Amino acid sequence: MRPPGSEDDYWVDRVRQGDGAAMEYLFRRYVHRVFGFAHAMLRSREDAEEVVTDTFLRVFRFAPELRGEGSFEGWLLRIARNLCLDRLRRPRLLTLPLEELGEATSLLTPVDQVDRTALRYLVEAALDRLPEEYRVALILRDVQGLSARETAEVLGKGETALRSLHQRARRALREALRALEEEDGEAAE
Amino acid sequence: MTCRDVLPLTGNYIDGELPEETCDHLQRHLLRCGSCRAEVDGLRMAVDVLRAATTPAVPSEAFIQSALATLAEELDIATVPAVPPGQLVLGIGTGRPSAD
Repeated sequence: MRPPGSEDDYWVDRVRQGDGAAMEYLFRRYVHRVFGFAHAMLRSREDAEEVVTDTFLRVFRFAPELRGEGSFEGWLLRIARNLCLDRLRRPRLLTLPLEELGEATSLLTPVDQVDRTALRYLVEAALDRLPEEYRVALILRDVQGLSARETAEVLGKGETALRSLHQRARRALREALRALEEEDGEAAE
Repeated sequence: MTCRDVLPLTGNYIDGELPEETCDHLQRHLLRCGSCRAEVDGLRMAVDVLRAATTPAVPSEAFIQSALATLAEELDIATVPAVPPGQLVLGIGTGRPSAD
């Protein structure tokens, strides 16, 4: 991510002056990152698209000084994260039944030999058991590949605190995967 | 290096972010400590499974075009003629502030 006062600020200013080309430039520059994050959080293309649009609308509407310290990308992802969490706290019409895990793979099976859909369901069910903050840290760090500093910025934490949180999140994921595997084994007996 | 020293470093070890000397000490400990080895293997497996199952999704070009139209309308911004992204970047690059 870029430091404050970077060229992104210049383009945001151009957008606020009504420059459509600047808006498209910034949108295309960051849409993949924001969409990938929102989709991983919400698991719905439609919901992720709405979050992306709302995120950029807010960013272009709000005065840059409201951003505070940090990069433009970090600000974008903070807003996207809050919008995702708002949606996740609403009553959900559709949830993934654990029975769908069916013949989900053993963790001891090589990843490239298993049914990818079953693996995805297994991981989604495990992520559902984790606190929101753990999920965000895992998605940003391990799925999207943000650095510890960048992830800390999105979560509003110091880098040391983020590293500790991320470590706890990985352990919690491991335990959730193991628990699901055991439950699946018991159900199959 | 003891188990107490190793546990806080396992995340950085998995991510390849440890200094070489610390990494060597940690690996020597793992060779003789099954408990820490299991900790590292379990974490690495969880991260591998997470990454294998959640490839970042990519937005469609149709959505990008639709979202840009929505943003332009909501923000009252005049739309620009559609041009390939590569040309667009080059085109607006001429107005960039200097690095000074």
